[in-house]
Amino acid sequence: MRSTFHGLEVSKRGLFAQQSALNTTGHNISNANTEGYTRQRANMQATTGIPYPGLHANVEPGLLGTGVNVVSLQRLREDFLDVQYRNEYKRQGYWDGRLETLEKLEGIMNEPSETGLQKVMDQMWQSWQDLAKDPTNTSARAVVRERSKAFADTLMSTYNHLEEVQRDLDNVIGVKAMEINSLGQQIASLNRQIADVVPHGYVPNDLYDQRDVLLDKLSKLMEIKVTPGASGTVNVTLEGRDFVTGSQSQPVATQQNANGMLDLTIAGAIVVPTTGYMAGVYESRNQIVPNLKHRLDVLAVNLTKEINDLHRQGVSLNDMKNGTVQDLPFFVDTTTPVGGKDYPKGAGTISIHPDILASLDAIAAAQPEAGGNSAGNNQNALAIAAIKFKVLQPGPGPMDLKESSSLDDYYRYTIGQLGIDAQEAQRNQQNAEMIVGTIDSQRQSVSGVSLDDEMAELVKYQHAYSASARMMTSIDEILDKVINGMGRVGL
Amino acid sequence: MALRVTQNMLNNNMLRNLHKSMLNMDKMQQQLASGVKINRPSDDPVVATRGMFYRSSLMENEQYKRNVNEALSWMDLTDKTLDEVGNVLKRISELLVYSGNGAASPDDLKTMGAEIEELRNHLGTLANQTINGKYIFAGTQTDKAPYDPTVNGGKGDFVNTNSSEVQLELSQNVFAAANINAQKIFNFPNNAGNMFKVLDNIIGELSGGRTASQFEDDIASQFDNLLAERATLGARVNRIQLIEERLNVQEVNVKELMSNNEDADMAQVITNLKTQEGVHRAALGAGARIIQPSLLDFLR
Repeated sequence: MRSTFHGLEVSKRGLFAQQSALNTTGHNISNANTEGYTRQRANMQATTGIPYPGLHANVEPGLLGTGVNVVSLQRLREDFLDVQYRNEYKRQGYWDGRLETLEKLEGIMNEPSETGLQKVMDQMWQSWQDLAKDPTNTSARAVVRERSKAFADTLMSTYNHLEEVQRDLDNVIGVKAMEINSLGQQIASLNRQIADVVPHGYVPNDLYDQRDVLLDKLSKLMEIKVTPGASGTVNVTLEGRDFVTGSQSQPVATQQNANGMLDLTIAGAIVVPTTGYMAGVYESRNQIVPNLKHRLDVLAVNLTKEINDLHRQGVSLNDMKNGTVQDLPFFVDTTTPVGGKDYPKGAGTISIHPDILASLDAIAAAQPEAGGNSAGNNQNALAIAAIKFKVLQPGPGPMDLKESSSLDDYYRYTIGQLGIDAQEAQRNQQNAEMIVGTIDSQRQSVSGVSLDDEMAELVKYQHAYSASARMMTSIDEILDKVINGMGRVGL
Repeated sequence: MALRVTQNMLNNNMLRNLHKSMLNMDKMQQQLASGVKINRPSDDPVVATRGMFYRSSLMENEQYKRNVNEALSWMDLTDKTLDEVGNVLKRISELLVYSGNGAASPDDLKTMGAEIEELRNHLGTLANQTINGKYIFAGTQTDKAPYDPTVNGGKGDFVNTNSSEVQLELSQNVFAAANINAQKIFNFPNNAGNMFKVLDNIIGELSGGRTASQFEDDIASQFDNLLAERATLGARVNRIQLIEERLNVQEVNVKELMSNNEDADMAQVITNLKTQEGVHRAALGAGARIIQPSLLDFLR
């Protein structure tokens, strides 16, 4: 049996429900541009009618409705898209990391150009030819010395730049480790807040959103796996190791390894990133840059060895004057003790032999002659200039070439390989970016706030609200009739 | 369900498209400004490494041309000097013929002897011809005068015995001597009977007032020998000129290859840029239209 004020109660429920929906719409509109915000919907359900069917209930015709209730505020989101998004985002992160490095390396190598190492080498070979043309000429000797210095300087500065890049990458690992750590702490803290309210029946949609944004960010950096935990929390593993468990997160930090470089640790144990931006940076630091450095080392060691071997057999003007054979290497390692003849051990440690720096006449342009050495002999200068085209054979040593080629070719191949690597990274990065964009579009399509949508909802709820109010007014008029208009016959 | 489209999606897509189209325009702008198709190896690794190779080839070519010039100027000077040596020998043989006809008095013969002595000194100077301070008739001993005026009892003689070649590389692995073997001229047929020794004998006869026509054959054989050496030299000059010609052709070829390899086709780039500009305008226009209005604009 309905009560007298039943209608008032129904209308009130209507007003409240529509108002809740209006508020939700407002919340959506307000957050239209919030990163990671998921649109929400007020789900309404008719409240239980009277009489509620039962064994002893009165039998009345029909079931009288009692109005409406908002039963839930639902987040419109598809978990599957999150999984997909994070899967692709980590790939993009990986290529991002590689590409950044490769682009830097391309800039450092600066080829093809009029100022790169190739040009400097060409000029060095040219200077030996010029010396061959004019073996007694002091200025031709000076040019040989200066061009050789330029070659050593260019190699060294390129090498130092590469080392800088490597150090920089090491720094990036340190900084990103802190970022990962902070993300873990924030996720753990959100987990705690969520676990505080979920058991009381609340649905903390906005906290979920915030946590999803953090998980997205984390997924770009390293391999993560997200599994649901108790009371709305999530557990996260990083590279297969427990990272966030409920409201606890394991500290991510760095420690120096034997090579003086940083290793990533979780709770004190070393982890190696397998994917994501961190993996890109790791590979850059441990492979890409060291490989390029090694190739420059090989170039430097072989080239200086070829020149040195010939130069030691040659005869200089000083030799002719003193009647001695100096047996002097042209290039020495910077660590060579005074009077030593150590060949350069790498691209970063080349210097011209101090005797040649001291005297241009120490440059050996001639080869020994049977009938006495002569100053106009240019055979050694010619032989050294010809190293440019000399095909070196591969060998087993760490500084040997792995395929037979001239040093000129070897350098060009190095640049070609760098170009190909950078091109591959570019292509993959662009592809990953596009896929991430597509998935994000799909996600936005489900979860994004559309102002048109919300405006339509607004109109809908506003009208429903007005109608509920009008309903209440008419009930009011009815009751007015009952209370003030009835039983007053003849008054 | 049809794809739901939200304002943010439109915004993002439009930004992405604009960004891409700007990137394209930037690339073309770079090509226009630099005139080359590529700026870094990753733009096109093949073009990049080829570009490096061509640059290197051009520098080699330039060097070989420099070497050819050097060789040619050596040979030019050598030929001119040998020509003068020939003139001297010719004058001497004239004098020898004149000394043989009975009309010359002993005084005349002495005067001839004096003239030939001057000519002999001149030959010494010619044998010490230098280019950029280097003696061209000294083999590889370019820093020592091959003719020493103080030896041979103060009469001077060609003392150099160095017959080595001063070789220059004229293209990869192609060597040619810039000098001639002076032994074959100034020490012909050998040091004991060379040009200067023959002249010593002639001067000895003439200054004694005697005829020296018996040396006509010796001078003639010196002259013949000189001509033969000059002919060899001429043949070598021809060969080097051919190399020079080839280097010039090669330079043009490499430059053309380089241009084909890396130069941007301006007409094509400008056309592409114009097209891209149109696309960019369209994207901007479409964006301006789509993004602005929402239901809000129509509901009051």
